[in-house]
Amino acid sequence: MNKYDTIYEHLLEEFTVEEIAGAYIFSGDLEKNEQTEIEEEFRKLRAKALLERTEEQRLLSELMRMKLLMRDYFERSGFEEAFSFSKQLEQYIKILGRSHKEFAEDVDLHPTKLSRLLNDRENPNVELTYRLETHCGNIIPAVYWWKLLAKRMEENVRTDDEMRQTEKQRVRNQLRFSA
Amino acid sequence: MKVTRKASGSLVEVFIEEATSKDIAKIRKHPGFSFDWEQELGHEVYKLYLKEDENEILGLLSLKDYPEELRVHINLIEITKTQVGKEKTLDNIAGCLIGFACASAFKRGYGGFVSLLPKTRLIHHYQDKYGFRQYGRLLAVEYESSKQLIDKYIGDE
Repeated sequence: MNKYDTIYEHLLEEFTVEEIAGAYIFSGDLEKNEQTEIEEEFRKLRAKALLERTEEQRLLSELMRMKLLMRDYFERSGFEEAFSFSKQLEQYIKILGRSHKEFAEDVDLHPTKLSRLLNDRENPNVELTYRLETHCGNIIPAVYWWKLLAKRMEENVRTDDEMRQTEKQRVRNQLRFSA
Repeated sequence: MKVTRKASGSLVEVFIEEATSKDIAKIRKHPGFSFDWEQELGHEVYKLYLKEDENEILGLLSLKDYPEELRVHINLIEITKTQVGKEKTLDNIAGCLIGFACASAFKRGYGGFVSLLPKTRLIHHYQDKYGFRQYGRLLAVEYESSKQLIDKYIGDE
């Protein structure tokens, strides 16, 4: 009996099989040659499945990846250019394999407006984030697209000293507090 | 990511992050953990803990990356004994760890492919509870079934 089997026998003294399955994952005891045989059989099945991957599976895979990497980005502090709205939208269109013209039609945008969004000359509105959410089959929620913009805006507000100085000149009756 | 308090049904925030060798040393002396986690240090080992108590590790996950086969393999999952069986106070700890493994597999470009090689007696529990299906002698989730585990245990946050 190997170490894992001994642990399993001890667990059975305290818990049912179902309770063990709900809290543990571990392999049974296998001889080295049995392990090799299992792995070889698996590798063949895996290689075959990868060759037979459908377009729908490719899309799901890449969109889930995009979404989860966005989520990691939201948890980090600061703005990253690779996660600007425009860069992520460009990536999304690339994953779909659609031309800009086709995609603009899909989400009811004028091609010029799409071009302005992709070149950071215009920001998206809330309506567009809802359209993107629907377009991607609800895999990437509207709020994710919005957060991409919000993180950039936050960075701009924090660092745009030129605008801060300009706008300061336009303020009257500024409140002052003694130290 | 959230687990559920059994008594009230309320959600409690948990975090999963890489376990350090210091964590593993602590686990070695912990009465709630039975497996030898030091053996897992050659793999990726993650710990799950409550946001409100980061010193108490509730569960551990050992993952092995197989980039040439586009998959991550769950080598070992163990939940602290106080959270197993009838006396446990929290639900879904193991589900969160499995959901985390699925998310890792998507992020690596593996289509969410997560495999495991369970004891024969436990196979049908993983199939029924998590939707794993037979892949030779291994069990696996991928694509939609992997996404469903992420949706169920991790959500959109």
